[in-house]
Amino acid sequence: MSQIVQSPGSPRGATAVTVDSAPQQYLTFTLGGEMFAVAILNVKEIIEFGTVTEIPMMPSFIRGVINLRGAVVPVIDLSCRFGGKPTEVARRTCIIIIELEQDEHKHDIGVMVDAVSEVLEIARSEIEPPPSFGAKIRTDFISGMGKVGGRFVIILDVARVLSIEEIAMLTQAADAGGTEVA
Amino acid sequence: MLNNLKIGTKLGVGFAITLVLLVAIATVGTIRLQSLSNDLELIVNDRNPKAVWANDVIESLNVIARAMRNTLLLKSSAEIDKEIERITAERKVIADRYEKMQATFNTERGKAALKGTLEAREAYIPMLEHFLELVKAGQQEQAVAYMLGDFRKQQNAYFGEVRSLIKLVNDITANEGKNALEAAAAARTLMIGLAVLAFILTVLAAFVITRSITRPVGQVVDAARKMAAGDMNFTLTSDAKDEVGEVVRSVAAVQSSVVALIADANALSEAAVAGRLATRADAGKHQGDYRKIVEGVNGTLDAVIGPLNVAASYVDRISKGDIPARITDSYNGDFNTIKNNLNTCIDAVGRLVADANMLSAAAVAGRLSTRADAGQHQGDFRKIVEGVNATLDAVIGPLNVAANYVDRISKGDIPARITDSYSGDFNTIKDNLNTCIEAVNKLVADANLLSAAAVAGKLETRADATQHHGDFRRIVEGVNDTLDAVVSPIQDVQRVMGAMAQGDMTQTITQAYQGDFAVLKEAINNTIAKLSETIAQIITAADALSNAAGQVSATAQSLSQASSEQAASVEETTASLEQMTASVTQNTENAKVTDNMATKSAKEAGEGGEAVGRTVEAMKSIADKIGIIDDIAYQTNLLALNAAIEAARAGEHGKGFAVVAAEVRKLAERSQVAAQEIGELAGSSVKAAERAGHLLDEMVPSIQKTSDLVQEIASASQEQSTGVAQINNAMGQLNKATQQNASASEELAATAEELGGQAGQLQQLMEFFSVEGGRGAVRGFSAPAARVSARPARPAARSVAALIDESDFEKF
Repeated sequence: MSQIVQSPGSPRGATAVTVDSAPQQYLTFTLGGEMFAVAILNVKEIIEFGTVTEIPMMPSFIRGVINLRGAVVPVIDLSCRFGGKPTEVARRTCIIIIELEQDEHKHDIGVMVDAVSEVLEIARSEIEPPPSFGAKIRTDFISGMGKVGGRFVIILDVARVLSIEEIAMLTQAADAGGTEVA
Repeated sequence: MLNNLKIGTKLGVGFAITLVLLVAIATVGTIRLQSLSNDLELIVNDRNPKAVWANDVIESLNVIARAMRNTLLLKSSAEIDKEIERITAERKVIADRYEKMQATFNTERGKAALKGTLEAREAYIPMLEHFLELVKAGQQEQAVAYMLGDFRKQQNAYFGEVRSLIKLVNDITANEGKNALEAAAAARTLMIGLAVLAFILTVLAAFVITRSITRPVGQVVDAARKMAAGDMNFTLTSDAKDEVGEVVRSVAAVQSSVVALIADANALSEAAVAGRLATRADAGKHQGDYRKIVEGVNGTLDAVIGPLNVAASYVDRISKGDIPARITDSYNGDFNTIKNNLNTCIDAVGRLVADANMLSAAAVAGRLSTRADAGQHQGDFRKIVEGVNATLDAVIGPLNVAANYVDRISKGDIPARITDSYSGDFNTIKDNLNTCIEAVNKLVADANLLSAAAVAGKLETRADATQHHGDFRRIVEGVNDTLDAVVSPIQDVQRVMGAMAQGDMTQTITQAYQGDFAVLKEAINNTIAKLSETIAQIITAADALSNAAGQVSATAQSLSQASSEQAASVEETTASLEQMTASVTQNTENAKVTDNMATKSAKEAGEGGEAVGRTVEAMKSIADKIGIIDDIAYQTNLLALNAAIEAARAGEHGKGFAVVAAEVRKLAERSQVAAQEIGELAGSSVKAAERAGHLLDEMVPSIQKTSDLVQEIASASQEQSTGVAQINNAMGQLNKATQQNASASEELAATAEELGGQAGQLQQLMEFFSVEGGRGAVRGFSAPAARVSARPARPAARSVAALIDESDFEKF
């Protein structure tokens, strides 16, 4: 993963000369007023919030599935997943399609966020380890705290956020979709 | 008492007594008979039926007893039943009788007796029933024993009760019959008593009435007989008030009337014998035919005495020279002869008197040639007339001469002396006439002398009185005195009038005169005094008039000045009013312009509101459009992000693309920010525009209100303008009036000065007269001097004069 993002890629990266401190690109978004970030290589694309088909017998943080160019993609309400309120749909509400690799299989999962902000490069030196407590969320979701412009951006660990149990459930849903696709 | 009633009343009383007793007898008899009839009816209709009914009961009981025995004796049951039916029938009869008796018994005793009977019957009926049952049962032996035993006892008791009832009824009936007989006997006794009483009273009344009629009638018959025999010497009196009493009193009245008639006849005959033919009987004392008799006797006397009295009075009047008219009344017989002789005498005397009258009247009238015709008279009357005619002839000759002379003297034609000779008294007349002619001639000569002198103004000339005698001398002396008396006053008057002609009013006539001359003197003196007084007053009045004219002039001057000042102030006022008019008109114009402007402002404000509304709409659509731009920017942003993601995923190969994507994203971001700013601006513009529209909407009504107010101001100004124009008009009239006042006061001043001049002239005229004490002269000179000095100084010292004359003004 580090070699994917090792290149400076931007004129501002003149400051990041070392490989260790080579900056990595992150996609930032806002959720419930907080700013989060995910590694851009995990992101497949961003789409506007469209029609979501709700699926019965699902936990509340799974909003349903969407039709992404013929493929069935489940959509997770991240705010709900973090124990907050269900996300209200607004003009800037977006779905970030995230690509997960599990057991040599790639899965696409849609994450519902309030708004996407921008693509940032954050140097490694600017990333602090996650705090032991104090945050609203479980710390194992967090891969680190990036400092951007004097404030912290929570960098989420995508694999943890979408944990095994959820994955399993997602796998079942994906299997149903996969067989259909196959 | 009976004598005071009339015969009819007496008879009425007698018959009334009889009738009352008759009615009493009839009433008593009727009442008693009715009572007897009631008793009989009671006995027949009530008592007797009761006894019959009780006997019927006993009869029926006997039949029942016989039937009962028959039932015991008979063997055939049919016959027994027949007997039983008889018993039943009789029992019905008994029940019927009892019902009737119960209905009619109403006394206590009767009811008690009937109740005993009924009790016995109630005990009897069951026993009879029992017996009949025994018979029907065929138990003959027991029936016989029962019938002869208990039943018989009860039956006998029953019979006893019924019989006692019958006895009671009979007793009552007998008692009532006895009572009726007693009542009948009492009624008979009473009726007999009443009849006897009626008989006695009737006989008594008949006797009394008859007696009261027959006794006075006898007296009257006696009196009538005496009157028929001419014997009036009796007296008839009665104090009874009935018809007989009336008859007695009427006969007595006849007696008294006849006696009075006889007395009057005696008195008249005695008076005629004694020659007192004027004596008359008083007819008013008698009545009816008696009065006619007396009046006839009086009439007879009048008929005899009338002609006698006429003849006596005619002869008496002729003897006294009062010749009466001929007698024209018609008389009969001897009275007519007397009348004719009297008329002949009256005619002869009348003719003589007529001739005498004619002659004397002619002599009195101066017609002395008149003579009477002696041939009309006879006897001594003719001689009288012839003598008178001769006397007249002797007197007339000298008288005619004297009359002629006197006539000429009286006409002023004095004749010459009489030269004829007359004898006796006629000569004396001639001499006297001659003397008279001379005296008159002398008097005429003197009078001519005096009158000629007076005509020539020679008032001193007098006639010589000594040439005349007697009254002629007194005439001449009187004429002289008259001239003396006339001349002196004329001279005094001459003197006083001459002084007055010179203006000297102080001269008066002081000499004493009498009569008309005194009046003349008083008149002249009074005239002078009055005239001088009047002149003094005229002088005073002229002074006062002069003063007043000066004051009037001063007042008129001040009035004129005041009018001029007033006219000036009126002109100032008029000028101010014109300025006011101009400003009011300006106000009106301004108000109109303001009104137009306000109306226009209101309209424009409305249009501005609409424009702002449209602006708001446009702003809103701009905001919408900007939303579209914002969306486009957002989508561009998303596309840039996706491009960045794709570039990152492409690694080294995508770096260039990543840069482009980043730039695109920045552009998108900037356009988004710009869109957002424009949106905010548009929103705030919309708010401002809305507020402006709101404000404009609020402005429109207040502008409208302003417009209305300004219109009111404009109309008020219009009214003000009209009012001011009217005031202007009034001020013009006031101005004219003030100017008229000014000219009038100036004319007044001129007139006052003219008046002052006239007053001065009057004063100068009055100076001519000198009056008592010379006051007029002093006044007359001082007044014009004061006036002349005052007149030039007046214009300068007007206000001072006004101040000084304040008090005088009030007096005038």
